[in-house]
Amino acid sequence: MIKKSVLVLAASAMVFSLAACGDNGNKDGSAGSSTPAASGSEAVASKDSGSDKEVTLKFLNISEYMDSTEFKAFLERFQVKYPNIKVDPISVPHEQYINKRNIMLASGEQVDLIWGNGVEQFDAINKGFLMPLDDIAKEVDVDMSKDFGDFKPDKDGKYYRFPIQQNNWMLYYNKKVFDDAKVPYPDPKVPMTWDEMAVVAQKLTNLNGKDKVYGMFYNNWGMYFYGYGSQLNNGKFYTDDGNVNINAPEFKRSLEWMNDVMNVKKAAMPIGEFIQNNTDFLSYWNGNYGMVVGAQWYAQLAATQKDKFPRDWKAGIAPMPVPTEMAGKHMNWSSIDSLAIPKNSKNAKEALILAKEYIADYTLSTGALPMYTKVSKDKYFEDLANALKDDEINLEQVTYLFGGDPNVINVEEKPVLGAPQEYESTFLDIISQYYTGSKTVDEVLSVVKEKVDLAIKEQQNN
Amino acid sequence: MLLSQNVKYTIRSIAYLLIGLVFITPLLWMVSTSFKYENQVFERPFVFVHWDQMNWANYKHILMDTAFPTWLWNSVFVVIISVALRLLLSALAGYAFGFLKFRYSDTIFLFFLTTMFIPYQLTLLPQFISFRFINLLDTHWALIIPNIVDILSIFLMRQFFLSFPKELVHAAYIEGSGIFRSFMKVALPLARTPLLTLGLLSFFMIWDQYYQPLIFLHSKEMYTIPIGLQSFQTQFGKQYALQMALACLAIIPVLAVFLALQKQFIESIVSSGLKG
Repeated sequence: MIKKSVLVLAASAMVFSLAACGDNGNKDGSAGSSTPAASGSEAVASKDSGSDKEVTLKFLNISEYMDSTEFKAFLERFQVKYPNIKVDPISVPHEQYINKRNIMLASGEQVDLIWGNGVEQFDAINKGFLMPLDDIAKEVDVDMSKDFGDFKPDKDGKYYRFPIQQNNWMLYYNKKVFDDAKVPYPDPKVPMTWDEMAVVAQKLTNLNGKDKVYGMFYNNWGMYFYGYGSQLNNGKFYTDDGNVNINAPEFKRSLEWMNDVMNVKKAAMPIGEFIQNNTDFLSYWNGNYGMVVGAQWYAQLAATQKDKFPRDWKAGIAPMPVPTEMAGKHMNWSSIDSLAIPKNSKNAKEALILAKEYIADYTLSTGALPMYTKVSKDKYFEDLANALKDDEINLEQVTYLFGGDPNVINVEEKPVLGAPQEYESTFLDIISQYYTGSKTVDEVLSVVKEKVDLAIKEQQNN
Repeated sequence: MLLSQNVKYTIRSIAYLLIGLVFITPLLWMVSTSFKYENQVFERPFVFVHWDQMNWANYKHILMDTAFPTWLWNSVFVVIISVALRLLLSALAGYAFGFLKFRYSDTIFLFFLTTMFIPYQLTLLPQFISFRFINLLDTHWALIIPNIVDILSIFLMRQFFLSFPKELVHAAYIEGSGIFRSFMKVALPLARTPLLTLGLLSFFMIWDQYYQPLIFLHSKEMYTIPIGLQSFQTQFGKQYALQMALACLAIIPVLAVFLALQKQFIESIVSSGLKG
């Protein structure tokens, strides 16, 4: 019996001895010792005397930024400028970024700086993960109310996000498709209305040839369905009492417009075919579509990268379409990527120094225009215009559409306040049922409202 | 009569071919996509290979500009250590529960079995906190340790040892062997067949693990292949052509293991408890 027990004990001992062998872990040796900061001001107070001490910042960001050679070069420059601030980058593929972020922050792991788009950062704010930045920003000589244009406080009059960039949406078009259909190009300054766009898309569509040509391309993302409505009601995705407003008439009109283009005018790929074909947002660049509404990322990812996206046609750009009521106005769907400091951070002030350098010294190299007003924009526009010169797109057009128009009217690109993740996913889960005819638009919108209202209520109760 | 047999044979062969095609199509798509440009991935009509536009740059990028060799080595290291330790521990535990028996052994085993019903996602946060506490985050041991103890493997080995002939071990006792020695010298060599099956299944399972490395590893140089695969996605979508090029390269070690042990694997499946 004793020998049997020894056998069982030996197996257990082996497991624990292995655990002891694995002690080559965290580089900063901080495991188990982090204490969440109670508030931003407390965090600043604790750092007042520590600006020259050596600290290691844990910076959580998505792979596409963290793994780039530009980011590595930026870190080297940062290290020279701030030798006492070391950076430990944690790079996560975007698809699982939220899961990893949530586990790290919920476990009390020290994380000093996190990246996020609008939905992700408001999700973190709602979960109570982030600290307000108002006081720390003053410490690093940043005025949150002035240095980022008309950027407004996030919650309860406080800033939690340190803005990096804002999307700049526009209309991209394929000049060859326009030429083949003998349709004049869109005006470079005056936007089409959505109704005009639908008519043009129908003229461009040719489903009889060897390769089908659709006049309009879209992505299976929320703003392609409700974005027209957002322009109509100034991005009012929530009612005044914080509930879901997706059943407002403006959004209904928006969804019906898309139905008209897709199923009546047949000028866009039916959603069933879109999903079945696994159509990707980059599919636009295969040349079989006339127009697409897209942001600056189309220029970063495809339009300027002909080695990865070879094409025998020229692209054009024009302002994004607007509702008839807003005819002639330059509008944009605004979505802000930002950095934020979790309450678990031990080095809030140093984290904000890194954030400030990130937007001032790195963001431009990603092909995006920082919202930070103290960054010179001229070189960004010149480089972009140069990269697009083969498409006969000039500096004036680039400046106007890629963030240089001070008169552009920004409306929310997507819902970000209450239960934003649930809002978007619920909407996208059910919207295809309307476009395939199995549910009416009212049924779809009421289901979204019912489910997301419940999610918002649960979030408030927690 | 002969004609009828030939027709049956032909029909059966075509049916097998079609079924085989269903299974091999994803593999063919993977290879085909790895030679395409991103905007050709979902083109309609589907073109298997653009012979005039073969994009070798995907492979060049994977081999020259990424940490693929490191990721591959990490995967191999984690898998080999995990599988070796899992087999040893499963054999030990299976022998204890199935052959030796001890007071409350069935109750304890039942308790072990109940842990199989806890969804893995629920254990991620406690595991993360535990590994942080013992300073194992961002090390490969954070992947290896949870893989060593696998209840299903223990269960399979227990089933094997339940019907293990007692006379063989008793003969070893008479020769003067103790429990551990008789296990090592008599029971373990005879458990080669189920251990081989278990080893191969564990190899494939651990090779594919995604969540554990995602959550427990922070440094890029510690990544395993599945996380490396996911790094070719942006917030707007995936770079399928690059992903598939990496997948084609990553599948080579798995194929090599399978082809090398194919005969034994099939034999062991047929002769072990896995035959259902």
